[in-house]
Amino acid sequence: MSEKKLILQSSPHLREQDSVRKVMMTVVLALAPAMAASVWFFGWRALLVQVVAVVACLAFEALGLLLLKRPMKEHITDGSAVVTGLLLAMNLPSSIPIWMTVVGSAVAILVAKIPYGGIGNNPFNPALVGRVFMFVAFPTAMTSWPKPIEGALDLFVNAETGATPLGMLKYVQKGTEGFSMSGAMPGSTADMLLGNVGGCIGEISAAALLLGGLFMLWRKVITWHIPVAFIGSVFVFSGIFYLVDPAHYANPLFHVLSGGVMLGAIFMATDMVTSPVTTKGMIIFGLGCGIITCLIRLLASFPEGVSFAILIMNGLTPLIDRYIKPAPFAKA
Amino acid sequence: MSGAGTGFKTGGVHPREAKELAPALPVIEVPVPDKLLVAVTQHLGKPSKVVVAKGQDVKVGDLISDLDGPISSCVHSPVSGKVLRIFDGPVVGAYRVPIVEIMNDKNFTPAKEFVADGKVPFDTPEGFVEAIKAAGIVGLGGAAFPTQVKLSPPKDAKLDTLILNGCECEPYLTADDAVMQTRPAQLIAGALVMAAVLKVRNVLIGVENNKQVAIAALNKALADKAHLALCSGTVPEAAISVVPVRTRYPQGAEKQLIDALVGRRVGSGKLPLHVGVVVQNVGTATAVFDAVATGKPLIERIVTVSGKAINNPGNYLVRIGTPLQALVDAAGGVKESLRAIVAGGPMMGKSIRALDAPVVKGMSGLLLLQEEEIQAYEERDCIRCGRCVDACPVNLVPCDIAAMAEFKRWADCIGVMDCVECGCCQYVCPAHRNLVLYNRLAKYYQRRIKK
Repeated sequence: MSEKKLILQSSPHLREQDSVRKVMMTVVLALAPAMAASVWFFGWRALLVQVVAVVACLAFEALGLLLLKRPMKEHITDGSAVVTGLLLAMNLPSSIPIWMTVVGSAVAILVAKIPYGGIGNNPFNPALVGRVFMFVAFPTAMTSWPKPIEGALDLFVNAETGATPLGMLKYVQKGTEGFSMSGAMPGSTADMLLGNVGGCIGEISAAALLLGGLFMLWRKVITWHIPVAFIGSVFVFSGIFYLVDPAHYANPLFHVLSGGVMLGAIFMATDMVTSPVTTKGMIIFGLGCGIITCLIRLLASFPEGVSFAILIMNGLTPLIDRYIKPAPFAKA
Repeated sequence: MSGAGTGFKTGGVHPREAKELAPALPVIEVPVPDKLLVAVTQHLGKPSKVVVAKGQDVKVGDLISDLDGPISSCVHSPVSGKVLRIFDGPVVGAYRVPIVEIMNDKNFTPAKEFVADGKVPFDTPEGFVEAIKAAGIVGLGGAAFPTQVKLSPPKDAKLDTLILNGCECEPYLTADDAVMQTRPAQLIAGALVMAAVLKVRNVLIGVENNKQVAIAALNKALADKAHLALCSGTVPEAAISVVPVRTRYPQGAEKQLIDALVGRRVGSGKLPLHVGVVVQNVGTATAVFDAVATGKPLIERIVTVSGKAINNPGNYLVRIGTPLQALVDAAGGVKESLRAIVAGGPMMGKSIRALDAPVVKGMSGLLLLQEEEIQAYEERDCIRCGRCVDACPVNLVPCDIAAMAEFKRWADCIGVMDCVECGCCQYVCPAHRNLVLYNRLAKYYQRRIKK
């Protein structure tokens, strides 16, 4: 027998060959189509924002691990900071100043994640906390939307900005003069699917996001419950308003494809740390996200509500997990 | 109720099967060593009492230790020879326990003549149970629960089905497969005996559909009525069918198999007999046949010796009490690459530090694993992915139980007493958390709180 010490451990002795790092890298891969779409429509500037956010998040994560006295090598390589950075960037306009991106990254990692004990322990989605902080701190920069230019691949930001479809829709809903439903609607549904509309770096292309979602489903990193419940409830809820008053309320397909619903439902709400662990809980979580998104879009003053909706449901997740348990295997 | 698609309904995983390493056949006989270490207690229940003394001569089948109380079992000498000493020695899964060391005189003198080619004799159900009890038969699937206890249900139990468990859902193991392929008629005859004892007319043999040869062998024995030729005609007939079930771990867990075969769910803290079912392992059924037909006590069994760190993996027919080292030597010895030894299957077996313990009745496998087969993982923070919840076959929330256990909040470990420690949760955990260990701790402390 060899001199090397034998492994002694509690069963099981087999493990699926998976790890937190593999899970995180799968999410990064799933974001690749959306990253490509962002470069195609917003130029290299979009990629620059993503790189800055990732590097900044990694740096702040390293600082945080020092503060937590966690082993650096194992934890910095778990990939969670990369995902947070990428998702934060996806939620920013391509024209966002670099220093603001760094500030947002600091809030995401050092306020929303590290104080709770790092990966796995944060109650709120760090990228969304960073995003909402920036939204409040830098309202102008966070709501100026460069117009997409297909294939320009420019390093500079398109100086021409414009309102997002949802921003215009808000005026239509309020009945503001000079705003009509047809004016608010982008060119075509195809434009919305592909991403040829104004908006955040990563939210514009529904097709790219769906592709990433299917990839994560296939790799079993997410399940269908949250995205389907989220998107489905947005569709139904906005559909009811549309049926009652089509002059003021946009059609449900528009609501599903516009703004952050796709990005939120597929990538943000499915963040495993901040969403319920049971499938029933996930459906409740997704429904809540969809309904709150619609409430904000249709009845509140902000044009978009995906970030707030997800954060609110993040806050409710412990309660959902406390009450929603899987059906017992059999009644006693 | 039939068809290849039948299986349990919730949770489960499908680890790599790794059964090709140790094919079911051939079954190789292990040379009986000079000294045997017969553990005095080899069952679940009250320890048995030693009935031999140092220096005493014993013959094959002589009683070494006897039952103590209703839930107990006895142990017989696997060889003839002399009792060298009785000492506290190592066994798998327990601290040091009394062990009877016997010097093998190599004569194999039997205590009484065993009936070669015996048939199931005419007997009453009580007579059969007595024979099974006297032969020291315990569940050979791994739990080693005394078989006669399972065959003596309370008077008010309404039983209708006997299930034989031939799933062998643990990866690597092929010992049950070997039993089913080599002795299908004896197995079915043993099942008939147990059905007669339990007075049930319905026998289902559940076999995972990755064991087609075994399924064919059982079906052929049934078609040929080979099992009836092994009975003296006094055992009532029963409706016997072989049911292929989906290959999915833990298909062979008692409650999961019952769910798959008869669609009934055994509740929390309840036993199979509460839903009218008794489950026995296929190896146990053949041991029952041997006990009633030949009078032979349980002194040998088939053990799968497998893993990439053993030179000749395969199935080995070995006398109970053979030191594991002798079993490993018979299998060609271990390779330098050995990283872990596991007694049992890789999902529920116990990792052990040495080969000084003996083979016991409940040991279905011995795995000698090397680097790529087993790794020691560092535990990480739970990322709440919920995979453990999806994988749990009894619908627990393992990640929450572990979180509560970490803070010693044992009473808040909800439902943990239903945990069967199958290991599915820990198998899928990307954070490599020792979820089963937390469950075991929580179960231990919940039992203590109750007391």
